[in-house]
Order: sequence, then structure tokens, then C-alpha cells
Amino acid sequence: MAGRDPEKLLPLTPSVFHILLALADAERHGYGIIKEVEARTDGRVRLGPGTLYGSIKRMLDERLIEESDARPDPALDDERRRYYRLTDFGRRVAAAEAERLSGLVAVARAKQLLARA
Amino acid sequence: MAGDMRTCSTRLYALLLAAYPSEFRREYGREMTLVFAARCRERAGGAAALAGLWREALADLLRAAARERLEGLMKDGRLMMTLRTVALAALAYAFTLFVVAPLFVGNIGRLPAFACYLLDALIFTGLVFNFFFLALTLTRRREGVRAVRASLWITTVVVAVLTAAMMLDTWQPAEINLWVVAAQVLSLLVWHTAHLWWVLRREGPAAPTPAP
Repeated sequence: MAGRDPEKLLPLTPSVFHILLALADAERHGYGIIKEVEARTDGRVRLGPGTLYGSIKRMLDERLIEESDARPDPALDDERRRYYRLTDFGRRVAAAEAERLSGLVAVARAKQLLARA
Repeated sequence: MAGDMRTCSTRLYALLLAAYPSEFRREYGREMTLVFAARCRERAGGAAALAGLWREALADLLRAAARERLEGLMKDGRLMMTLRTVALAALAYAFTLFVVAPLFVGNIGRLPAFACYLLDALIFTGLVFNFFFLALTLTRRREGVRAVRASLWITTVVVAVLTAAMMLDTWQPAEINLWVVAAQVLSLLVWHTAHLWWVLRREGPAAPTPAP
């Protein structure tokens, strides 16, 4: 798996990138991912269940994420929910996509489409 | 009251998941329903809030289900297999409905109507359909099941269109009447059921599914 080139999966779809970002700092279940994305984008991005689990299926196939064995305390959360976390490869793909987008933003800045930070 | 609406919404959503391929539904259907139920609980404000949620949910469902179905079709050459199955089913149906049935309508006018239509339709559609499908699918269980399903869908659509056209009075077929259509539908059901039974019996319940 270490030999795979993250660049080959770029560009990512917005849904996939949002899911990778949501899982970058914590393991989450599907609904947790939706809530994190919504909170981070001030409600501008709302992943539906179909889009979310369709993306999750493809990301599992690509080994970008994996199911986590850890389950929360049943008193705190619904134990039927499955949790997901980033794989090392998923983290490298997310970083590569962030670099790519960062490059694009730099171009936009250079062409004065964006205010300088 | 709001709780009832939420429960009903969740149940309806679970039913609508039938739009996804069965494999996907088995893997993620339960969690998708959990997510939708959580979404329902978030929405305070009764019917208006739920209506907004449903708009989003239906758009998401249509988009995602279409994508999953398409991906399923593109996998392992299933698209060509499906196209071939549907094309053969359509050809066979058109042949029996527009060629075989009118020929027999002309010749059996003196016999008791529906029983004769049914008998003849059973024999001749059986011959035509099963010649095609049994020859193609005897050793391929999955394809056999798909052929049956495709034929039944085509039958349903054709009959619905014919019935609608007759009811709207925009098209009045000279040769085909409703009895013939009914006999055709019944015969299709009987023969396809027999076909399905035959294919499954031949494969056996424990037989592994052959690679496409």
C-alpha cells in the first residue's frame, strides 16, 4: 500500500475531500461526519445519506479510510453505528489534495482574484 | 404527533432505499436510515421542516441511487449483459404481442374467448420466449433471473402504455383488445415463473454463482 501514488486519485470530489477532512482529527460515524462538515462549512455543505455512504463505499475500496473497531460507550452513543478513520494512505491523499488546492488558490491570488491574507 | 410524523418518515425512507442496489442496501441501508432518523429528530417545526428535509433526501436519493446503479451496471461487463437481456426481452415481447397474438385472434374467434386466448398465448409465447431465454440462460443463473426481471418490467411498461392509450382514446388498436393483452400478461407471468423455477432448480440452491 505504501507504494501507491496519492496523486493518481486527484482531483478528489468535494464530498470525498470533506469526508477526509472530517476524519483527519478523529474517528467518526456517518452522522458525525455529516455534522462536522456542516459545522465546518457553516451549513453550506450538507451531505445526504446516499452521497455520504456512496463516497464511504468508494473510499473503503480505495483504502482511503477503514472501519474502526473501537466502539463508544453504549450509554453515550448508538452502538449500531460504524466508525471510520483515515488510513495512512488516506492522510497522504488528503494532504496531496490540499496541496493541489493550495496551488490553485496561490494562482488565484497572483491574478488578484482573492484578497491577500 | 410530530413523533408520529418522524417515525412514518423514517419508515418511508427505509422503504425508498429499495432504489439502491441490494448489495449497497445490505451494507449501508441500516446506517442510512439511522442518519435519516437523526436528521428528522433535528428538525423541529413539524410538517414544513420535514418537507424541507424530504426535498433534500429525495434529491440525494435519486442522485446517489442512480450513481450506484450505474456503477453496478458498469462492473464486470454487467452493462452489456443487461442491454442484451433487455433487447432480447423487448424483441421477444414485440414479436409475441404484435405478430403472434393478432394472428391467433383472427383464427380463434369461434372458440370461448378468454380461455382460448390464454391457452394459445401460453403455448406460443411459451415457445417463443423460452426458446430464446432458456437457450441463453440455462447455465447462467444470474442472467436467467435478470432476463425474467427485465421481461416483466417491459411487460408492465408496455401494458401500462397500451392501457393508458386506450383510456385516453388517442389510439385505438384495430387488432388487439384488452383480453389479448390480459392473456399475454398472464402467459408471461406463468412462463417466466416456470422459467425462473427451471433455472434455479437446475443450478440448485447451494450452487455457487458462476462468474459473468
